[in-house]
Amino acid sequence: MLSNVKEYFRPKTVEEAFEMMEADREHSIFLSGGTIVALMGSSRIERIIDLKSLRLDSVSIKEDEIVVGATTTVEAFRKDPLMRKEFGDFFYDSFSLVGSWQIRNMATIGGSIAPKLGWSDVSACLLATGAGLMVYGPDGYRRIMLSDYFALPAGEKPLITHIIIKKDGWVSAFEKFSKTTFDIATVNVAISVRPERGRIKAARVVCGSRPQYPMRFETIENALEELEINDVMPSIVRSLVFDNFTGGSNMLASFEYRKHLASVMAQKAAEKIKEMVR
Amino acid sequence: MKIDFKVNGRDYSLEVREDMRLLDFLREELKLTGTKEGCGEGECGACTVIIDGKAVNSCLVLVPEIDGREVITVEGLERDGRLHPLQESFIEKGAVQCGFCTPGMLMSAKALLDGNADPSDEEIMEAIEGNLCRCTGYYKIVQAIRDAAGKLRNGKA
Amino acid sequence: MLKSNSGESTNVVGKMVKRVDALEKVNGCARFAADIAFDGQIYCALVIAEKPHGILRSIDVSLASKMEGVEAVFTWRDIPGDNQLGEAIKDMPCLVKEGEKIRYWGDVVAVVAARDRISAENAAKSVRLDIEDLEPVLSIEEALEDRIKIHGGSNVKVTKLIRKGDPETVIKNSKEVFEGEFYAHYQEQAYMEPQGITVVPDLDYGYTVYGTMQCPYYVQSAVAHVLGLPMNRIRVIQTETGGAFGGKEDVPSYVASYAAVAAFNLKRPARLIYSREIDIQTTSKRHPIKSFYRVAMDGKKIKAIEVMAYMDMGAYATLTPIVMFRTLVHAAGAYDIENVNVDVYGVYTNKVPPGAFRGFGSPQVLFAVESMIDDIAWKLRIDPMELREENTLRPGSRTSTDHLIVESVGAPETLARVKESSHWKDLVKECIEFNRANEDKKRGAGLSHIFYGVSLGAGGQALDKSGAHVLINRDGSVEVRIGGTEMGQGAKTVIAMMAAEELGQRMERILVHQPDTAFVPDSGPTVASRTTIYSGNAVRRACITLKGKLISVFYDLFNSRPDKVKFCQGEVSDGEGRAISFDRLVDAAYVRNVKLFEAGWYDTPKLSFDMENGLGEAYVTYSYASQVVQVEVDMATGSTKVLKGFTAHDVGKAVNPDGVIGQIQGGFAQGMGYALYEDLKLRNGKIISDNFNTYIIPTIHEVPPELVIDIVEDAFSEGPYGAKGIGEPSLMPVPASVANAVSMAIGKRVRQIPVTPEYVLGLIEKKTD
Repeated sequence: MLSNVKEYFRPKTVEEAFEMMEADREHSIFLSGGTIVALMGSSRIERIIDLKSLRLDSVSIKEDEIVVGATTTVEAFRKDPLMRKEFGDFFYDSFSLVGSWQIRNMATIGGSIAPKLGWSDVSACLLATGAGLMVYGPDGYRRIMLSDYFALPAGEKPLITHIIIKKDGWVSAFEKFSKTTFDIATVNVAISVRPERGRIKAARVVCGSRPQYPMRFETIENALEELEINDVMPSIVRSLVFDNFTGGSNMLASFEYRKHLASVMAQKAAEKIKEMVR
Repeated sequence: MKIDFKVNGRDYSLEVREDMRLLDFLREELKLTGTKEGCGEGECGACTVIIDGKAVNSCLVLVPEIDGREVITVEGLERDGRLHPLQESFIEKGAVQCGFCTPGMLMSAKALLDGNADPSDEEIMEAIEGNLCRCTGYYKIVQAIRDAAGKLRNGKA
Repeated sequence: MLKSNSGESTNVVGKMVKRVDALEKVNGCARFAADIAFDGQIYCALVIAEKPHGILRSIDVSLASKMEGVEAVFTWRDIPGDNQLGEAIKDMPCLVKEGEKIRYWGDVVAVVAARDRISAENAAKSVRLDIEDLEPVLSIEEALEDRIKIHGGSNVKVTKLIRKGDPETVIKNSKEVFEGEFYAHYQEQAYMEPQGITVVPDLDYGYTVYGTMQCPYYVQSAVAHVLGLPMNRIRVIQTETGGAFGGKEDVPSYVASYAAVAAFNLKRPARLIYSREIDIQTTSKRHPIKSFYRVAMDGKKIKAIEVMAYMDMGAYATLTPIVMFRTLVHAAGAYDIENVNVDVYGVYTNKVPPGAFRGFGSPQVLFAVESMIDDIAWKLRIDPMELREENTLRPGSRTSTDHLIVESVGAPETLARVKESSHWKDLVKECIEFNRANEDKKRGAGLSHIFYGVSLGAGGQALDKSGAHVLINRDGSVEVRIGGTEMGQGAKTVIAMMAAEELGQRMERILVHQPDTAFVPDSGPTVASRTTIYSGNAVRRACITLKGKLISVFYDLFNSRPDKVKFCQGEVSDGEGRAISFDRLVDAAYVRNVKLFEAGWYDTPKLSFDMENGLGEAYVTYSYASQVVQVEVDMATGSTKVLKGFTAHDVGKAVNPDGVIGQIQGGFAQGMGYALYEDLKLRNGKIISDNFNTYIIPTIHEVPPELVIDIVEDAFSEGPYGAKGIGEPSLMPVPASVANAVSMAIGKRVRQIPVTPEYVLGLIEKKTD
């Protein structure tokens, strides 16, 4: 529990928020959904900067892109009519597996991505949809890919303001293995493909909770190009993931078991995609 | 800092600690001990309250976050000394054993029924998936929620 | 002997009622341990060793004592009485002394008392312990080597045995001999309300202890002991208890002792509420048990059985000797077997001391013996159901301890009921057909058949009694006090029902108070599914006596024949037109100066048992259950889902049928958690799965949509209305039936609990069984 907080800020603009953080990074923390901040047992944190006052909580459509405010809750995002219209049940179903209803009512999309959590189902799904981020940093706004955000060096911490998902007609599926429905993922897999004339024209294959954070596997993605979407496809996906999976062991699972599970989840996701394309 | 908020229909304007959890604020400052602490990390749901209509874990909410908002706890279910249909159904259907998870369950159920008058079994399950119960096996809790939904639909507000 | 009146129809008992304690639990008024507060109270935090094995060289509280908000830091020096908590075996200190050993991670060294909880916890972290590391003993195997001795003598501290007939010879001469090795892991009770106690200096210049607990009398004795005070200065009042399951049998005595040291030294109320992490890391669990079985068959008959069971009892013996007795008696299962050898060993290790948990040492061996029986059924190509039917205990059978049981043996009936409700043969066929048609998922049907010795048994006769106090106020309202505690299982409601039945007063006018050692003498612990019988009989006796007095008053008013007078739902009448309300009859008694309070007492029937050979009457009676579950295993991931459950329980008499169903449902979920999801993880003696994000218990999504429940009522003549107990038997059959179902699904024998996905995958991939 936090015990040393002296100031609680509610910035009106993104610029203000960022400046407040820059003023004393070491002793400050952004609060978005709050599912992480309240658990911090730190006496180092003295300043809380609440991002909810920025009202970055809407989902809108701009040409061929869906723009999601970073403080939109996971539950609101998942049930948003616009999201369901454009992406069907992908986010609705995938995010139903995130935590519990209470957690989803608090956790935000931006807050799920920012801490670079290994087991984040939200990050894995968004990575697979090729999502981009609008971030605000010392040089102002810029747009980067979600994968770029994960690759940023430790010192660079721009503020995520929006998540941008292209309406590109790709078909996506997500599978997660966890011990019970409530547990975090032992491993999760998100796959997105662009189908063209019964073949995979291009793919994005993401494995997360490895236990490290979600990553795209380009070797697998390249190997899937031009692959026919038929009954054999899912098992090919499975072998590819099994052969190329990278990760580690921890309390939840050993590397070998994770690798096996990832390949199985990938096959299930591929099955789903096969059914959606047919 | 000073914040203004509503708890169980009553307005408050108070000076609060910025780092206090809403759970502790409700229990220790407002003396509303109905909301419980079971795990301290948003896993068990015993601390569930409703903020602006949404069920959340109060052990994860910091007090300043309720500024300008309305909070409902289990103590706010009764109206004019009459039990809410959910409370009645929980009693009638035997959905209460040790009672520790009960306030949290009731709040999740209320948040569900306030937004969805005729929930399917899947929707009821989703609403209480974040409320752990070690005594009942959940069966009678689901029956009670279904029963209360029926009562509310039939005008027994 | 108090004869039950089974056969006579009842007005309240056996009917649908609302729980008497539900209202406060739904409106937020129920007061659990953390919900009460006292003026001037201080908050306690514990300083624990955080090492599995070592010698405590020094305790440095200098930094902590000066911290903001801290009143004091107490160590062994501040204990006024005996620095000793162990009951059966006196091996456990209250606060570890310098120069003495640290024996597990959760050994308590100091108690911090501060103005608020955060100050207390911060100060506790600042207490410096200098511990010289010793190599820890972290497994049963290591403990048996006796290379490192945790308490000086052998690590194999306690042994128990059964010697019945001549199994060795029978096995030697038998053509069909089967062997098996099994392991059942720890289980955490995971009650939703963590441990919590407040000790308050009281008006009688002693201390009153409030808190969440099952056994107020254990707490009273422990606190008196640690404070060096006579028991008449310690009063214990149980607060509303948010689940216990055995985890609050002996542990509250420890929690109370730590808080009592602070209360005694500061002369202020001392409050100690455990965080979930400290609770899981330091308090009792289900015992890990490794067991070895050998069984000799003659056709379908089990001729001989040999069992060796090793129990990991952690750093201190605590309740283990008693748990071992139950393991001993239940190891050979619910079967009539002529030749039985059982050896149970309790070994010390440098880990958390396990204690009581629903089933109390039996689920682990019932899982093992039921797996053996199933395995034998497979190998001999006999229907597992038939094998149970052939060997089950029935009236006239002798148990593994040669106890001749003649009444209330509902075992065969429970088998018949689940056979019927599950359509057993069809269910098995359905699974086989499914498995032929599917590769990636497989289904299995598993059967288990169990029994449970009710109450404290031959070893606990000295504790096995209960008192009650029933008082009728002038306005007719009734107050009942018992020594047994409500912890969610429905004790208060059952007691209220029995009082309503016997007195004929309406249930709404009867209040069952929170247990308070000031009113009712030691009534034994609220464990072993004994409350309905023991507290129930005590209450009935008191009520019957009171009713007798009221009948005399009725006679005085109306001259009616006493045997004609009927009490029912608040009305008293004689069937010949003369009637009066209960309340007005009580008023009439009041003005005649009739004594309207009565104490009730029920002493256990005496058991004859030979402890040397483990033979004789082990328990006063037994409950029985049979269960079938259907599971589906994902062959790619190893994860298992329970699809359906069918269960039948012989409870003697269901005093509160709705309550019995609630207990069976809850026990099923908790047993299923043990079977499939609850995997307690340790690293170097430290429990690292110490909250619900890492110790996974079932949510609404895990329980099967269908759980068919059958209640069998084979009356127990000593039980009130024929009742036995349900608290524990509700959980006990589950790990066994689930394991058997998984075994059938994957075609390999499951030999460990929990049946984790990783374990299942390992079995699937193994070439042989």
